[in-house]
Amino acid sequence: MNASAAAAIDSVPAPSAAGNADIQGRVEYLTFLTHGKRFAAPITEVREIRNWSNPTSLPHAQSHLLGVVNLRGTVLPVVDLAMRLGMGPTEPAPRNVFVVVEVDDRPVGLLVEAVADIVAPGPDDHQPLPESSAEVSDLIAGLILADEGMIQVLQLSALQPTRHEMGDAAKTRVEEAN
Amino acid sequence: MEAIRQAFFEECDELLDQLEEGLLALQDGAGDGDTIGAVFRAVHSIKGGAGAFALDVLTDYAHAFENVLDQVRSGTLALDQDVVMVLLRAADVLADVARATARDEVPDAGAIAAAKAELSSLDPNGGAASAPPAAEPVFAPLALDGLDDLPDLPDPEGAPDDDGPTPALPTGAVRDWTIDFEPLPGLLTSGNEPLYFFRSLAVLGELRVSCDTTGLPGLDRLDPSDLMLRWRVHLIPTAFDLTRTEIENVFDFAEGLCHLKIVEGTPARDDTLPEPIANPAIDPTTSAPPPPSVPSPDPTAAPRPESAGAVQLGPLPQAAVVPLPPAAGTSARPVAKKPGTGVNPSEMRAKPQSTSVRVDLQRVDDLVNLVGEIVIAQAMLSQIASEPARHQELVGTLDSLNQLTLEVQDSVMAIRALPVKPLFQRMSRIVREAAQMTSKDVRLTTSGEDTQIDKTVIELLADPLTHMIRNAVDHGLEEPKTRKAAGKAATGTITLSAAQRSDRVLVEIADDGAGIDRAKVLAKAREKGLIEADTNPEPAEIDRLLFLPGFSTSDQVSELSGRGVGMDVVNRAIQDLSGTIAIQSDPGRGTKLTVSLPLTLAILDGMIVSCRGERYVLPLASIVETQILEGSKIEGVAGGGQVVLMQDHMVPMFDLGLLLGRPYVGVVEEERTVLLIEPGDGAPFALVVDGIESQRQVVVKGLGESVGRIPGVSAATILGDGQVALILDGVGLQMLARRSHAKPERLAS
Repeated sequence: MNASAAAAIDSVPAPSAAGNADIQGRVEYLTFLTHGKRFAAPITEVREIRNWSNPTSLPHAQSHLLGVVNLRGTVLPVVDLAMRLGMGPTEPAPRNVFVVVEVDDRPVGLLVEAVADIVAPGPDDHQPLPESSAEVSDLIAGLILADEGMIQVLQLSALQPTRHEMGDAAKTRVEEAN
Repeated sequence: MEAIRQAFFEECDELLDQLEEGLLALQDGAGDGDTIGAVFRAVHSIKGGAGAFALDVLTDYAHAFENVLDQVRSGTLALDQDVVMVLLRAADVLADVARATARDEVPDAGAIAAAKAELSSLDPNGGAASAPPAAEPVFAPLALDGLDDLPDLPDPEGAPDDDGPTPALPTGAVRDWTIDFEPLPGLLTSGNEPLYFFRSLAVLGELRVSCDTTGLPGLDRLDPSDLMLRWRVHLIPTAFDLTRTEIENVFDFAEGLCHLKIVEGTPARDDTLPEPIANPAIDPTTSAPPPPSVPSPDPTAAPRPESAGAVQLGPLPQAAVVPLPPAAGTSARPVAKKPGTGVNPSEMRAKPQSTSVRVDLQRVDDLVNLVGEIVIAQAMLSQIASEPARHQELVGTLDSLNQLTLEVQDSVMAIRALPVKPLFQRMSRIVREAAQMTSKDVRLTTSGEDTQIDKTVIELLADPLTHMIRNAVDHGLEEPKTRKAAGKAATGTITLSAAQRSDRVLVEIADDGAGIDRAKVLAKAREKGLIEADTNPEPAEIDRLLFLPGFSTSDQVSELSGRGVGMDVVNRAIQDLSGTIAIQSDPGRGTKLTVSLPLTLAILDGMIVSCRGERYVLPLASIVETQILEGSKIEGVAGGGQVVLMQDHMVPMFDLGLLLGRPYVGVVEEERTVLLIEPGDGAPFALVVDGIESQRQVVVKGLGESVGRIPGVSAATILGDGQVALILDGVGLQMLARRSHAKPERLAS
């Protein structure tokens, strides 16, 4: 999520899903665990949380694109968040879920280890991402300082498996096959 | 009232379609008398309806149009290609006027005037009046020598102006009536429409209507709100006891707005006719109307009523006869009755036709089955809900209900598939207009109009298609002179075709023009900095440059297409429909654009195969044969490929798993399941799968933009157990095979 979008969300009253009086006027984030690290997505971008179901794999797809699952009759692409962030595959566990987020009207499921909770950080709790040379930093929009430690806010639009990537991935795979 | 008006415009759209369809048939030489009749009636019905709603501009224009069509119908005006072109353009203007009127906008007066002028230039009579219909030859000779001085003559003999029965008629026999109806100025503006009088009269019995058009001024002096026609109606009542009052009641609303003369008996000159129409001896219950060739009473032959003095009869009065059978359902003698000269009662009554969608019966059956399942699921829910302990089952049943509901939704969506015909028909107009603007002769040929695409796709395809057609006319086709010099026909041809290729619809726009001037395109692209100056792209790559944003080769920006956005916009619009566009150009021979569109909402007959633990769907249409093959039947060829003999041909063989990047796991079975695939336009090939599961209809689900286009995969579906399966596409698999030079599968040693 970029800064302007975040500002726009700031201006709308946050839903009271957490039932906390403190959160009025603040953006709420859904936080989840992946490889023991905490990540967050603005709750307004989260459509739902789905239990794990076995994805149908897509040929020649990038390794983080697990495949597609049936989301009540629509075909939902699912991405292994840990793989996407370069942390290796998510270990199968009973608490694994897909966090379904919607970016640019396109839903995508993120496989996470487990959902943690909902936080509503105050303005002071937000921290910009320190300058970093890592490519992965494109995927992180910012940081939240919480009592338990740092939470990384995902740049959801960067997580979309795009057409371009697909084509490249397919080419690479085909070449690898030779 | 608004609803009725709305219904009229809907009907109007259909009539306009019929009109264009008919004219196009005539243009192709496929039309006959019936086609001309249909064309005429379409315009006539529009005029009638427009009159009823006092849509003066529309009525007026439709009237002018109808006049010319009437002459075509009567044979006075020969129907050659030029005339058809004028009529087509006139139909375009009629459509514009109707649509503008529907939106309460003021129609383009300039266009109307131009179209009218063009129409009247066709009219041998200068648009003043309808010519005597040649179809009723008997009628003309009867006309009216020496009638110039007749208008003021007293009432004809044998038509006494009283209610008493004519002595010659036996009691109980049907007495005929002759009604002279002459509208006065103000009839139309008071909301009356003569057609409705005739319809009301038609309820009373069979009508023979003749119309006197001599009062019509020239087109230039014509005031559409002023009805200059006069009619004589010969009414053969269905009921023998029809009274004058009943007839008068029909014209109740027009009291004071017309001159009306109702006399009992047939028109005066009937006795001079070889075969009187109403022979009193004929039993009313069996008498059929005389065949069309029998002369009808001539209105102008009979003296006009007193009022006619106001209108001077010309030396050659002209009239048309339209027999109106009585309205169905009210007739006391319908049995032996045949409609008159090809005029169908329903058409005369301009009853709104219901819009309908053609649906494959299978789809309806699927829906019925689904609804049945939903009812069962609902019953189960009610049952379970009453027993608190069965919460788990409740959730499961709810899930299946959800699934069913979605399937119903999909089935209903599939019904939305419509043929592309109306879209193609609209394109013929685009071609005409573009041809006129560029002064080129262009012919549009279409094929595959019955190909079905989802309604939404059809709607969204209209704009890009228009762009492409205009481009083809403007940039693709050469000037007639250039064409002749190149040894081609002066008339350029644009071919528009549609066809379904397994799970995609291909729409092709081809012209036989000069092809793409690649040197020019390249120079332009370099000039605009769209490509590096030192690159030397392949011809196909050059052609693709046309799709780059801001590209336009036209030296002068033409009004028609050269805004430099055309093909870029087209490309994006097609991509928005999850389609692709390919361009193919042959210098000197023409250019072909192929738009490939997915059938996003279609249902597909598929074969479900398993491979490496996943299930895939192959379109049944592309599968020629399935076989279980011994490994020994598979031959390796030098260079590493594998071939197998299927259907008497050696075909290349590929393993599906390898194509999809999934290597063998474990030991390869000695016996292999092989499918012979014949993709849309590629060569057949054999595909090895691990097994065949079943054959069934699947609902095609687009994979969506998130996933993008996956080589070899066209879409996905959801199987009965809720798992997603990918739908494979033969052409894509073949391309995949070619691109990867997929390694031959190694036989288990």
